[in-house]
Amino acid sequence: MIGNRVKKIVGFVLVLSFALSSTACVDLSAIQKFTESASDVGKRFPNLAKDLSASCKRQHVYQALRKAQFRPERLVKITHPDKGSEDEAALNSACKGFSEQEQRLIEANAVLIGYLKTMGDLAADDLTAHDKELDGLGKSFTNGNIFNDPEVTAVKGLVGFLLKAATEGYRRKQLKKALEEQNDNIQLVTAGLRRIVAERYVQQLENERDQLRSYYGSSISDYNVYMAKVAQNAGAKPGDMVQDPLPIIQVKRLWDDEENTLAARIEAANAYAKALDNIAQGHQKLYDSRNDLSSKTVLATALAYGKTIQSLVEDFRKAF
Amino acid sequence: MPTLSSDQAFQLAKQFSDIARELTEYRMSNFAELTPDQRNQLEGLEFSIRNFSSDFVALSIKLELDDLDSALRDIKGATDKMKNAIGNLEKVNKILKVATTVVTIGAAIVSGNPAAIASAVGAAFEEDKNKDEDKEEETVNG
Repeated sequence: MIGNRVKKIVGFVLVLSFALSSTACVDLSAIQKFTESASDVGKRFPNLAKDLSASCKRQHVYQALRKAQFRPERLVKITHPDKGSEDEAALNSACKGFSEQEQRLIEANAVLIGYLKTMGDLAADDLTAHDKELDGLGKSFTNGNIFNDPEVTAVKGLVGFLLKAATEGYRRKQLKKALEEQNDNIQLVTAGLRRIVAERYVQQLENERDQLRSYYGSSISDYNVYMAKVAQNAGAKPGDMVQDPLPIIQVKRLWDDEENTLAARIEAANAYAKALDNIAQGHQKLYDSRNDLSSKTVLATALAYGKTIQSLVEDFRKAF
Repeated sequence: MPTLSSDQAFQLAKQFSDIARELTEYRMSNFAELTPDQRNQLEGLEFSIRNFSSDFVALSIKLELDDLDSALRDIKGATDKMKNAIGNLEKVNKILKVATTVVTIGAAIVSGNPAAIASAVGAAFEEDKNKDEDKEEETVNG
């Protein structure tokens, strides 16, 4: 009698251990790859965020050069202003509105990366740690004039989760809970970042591009007017075909270089926006399938999102 | 009191950016016919309008108005008319007037002063009306 009971208990324990070990050995590396790819694009994001005020300053530099009529004594002071100089103060003042935006963008993105890293750790059944600098954002994160109130709450919610996951030693078994609790926050934060990058930043780059075109176009036109006068003084009659295209060809090369750089930045911003879409959609799929995370279909989907994001990282790298 | 939202500021940024671009195109297309003074004036106005666009992207302004939605509709109506005017007018003095009106609207928005905004928008509609009257006069005399 006792022998049978012992046999049953041993059998139950064996079945349970097998069930537990099989759960622990489930391969969720696809989810890890998805989160790794997503983190990869996010790591370079601060370079993009900082370009908001840099773009604004470039726009003002083009204007200042035109206003100064290219007087040699002003050129370097405008393009490379000394620290503490009036020129530097004027540039900083003209673009100060972007400084806080940059800071908040970098912070929100860091929280997103922290979350994705934690999800990767949970998928790998590793203990997770997070960047301690993010802790304070749970209280101090503000809208920076660009995020709306639900987005600010979502960033703070993610910070709270990171702290809890690290201090309470979350492992794979909490992955489902994390997906359930944080999906709304992820959707909000990715949508906020996407809006700011794809709309605000791209608009600023378009303003810069318009200024660039105005700068080169006006300068070339000024040169043509000047050359016409030189030709008239040399005896050319009005209506005579007088051209000096060689300097313009050289200048056009510089113009093209700057156009190409700007185009690459706009492409990178759009690539980042697409990556955010993929992060949001990938997370949503994991959330929808949270009760069956180890199914082949779910893992294949996560892997596909990870691959798409990885291809977008390449576009992002070209500019940042 | 309603405050200018990030999305509303972005719409303003686009409107001002479009007008600045329109001015650049006018100036570049008519460069040879313009006097140096006219070119400089147009370029300066273009800079101001484009800088307002960047200010709106940065949302470095605080605009609080009781009837914000209505004011924004008026501003859009006025800036649309100004943009069309730049595209259709031929006389540079008229273009300069229109561009100056746009700068006044931008400055009024940045100032956050409801009376200044209403006055600038009113001036824009008036400018638009004068433009049509001038055209009729040209047709009659022409």
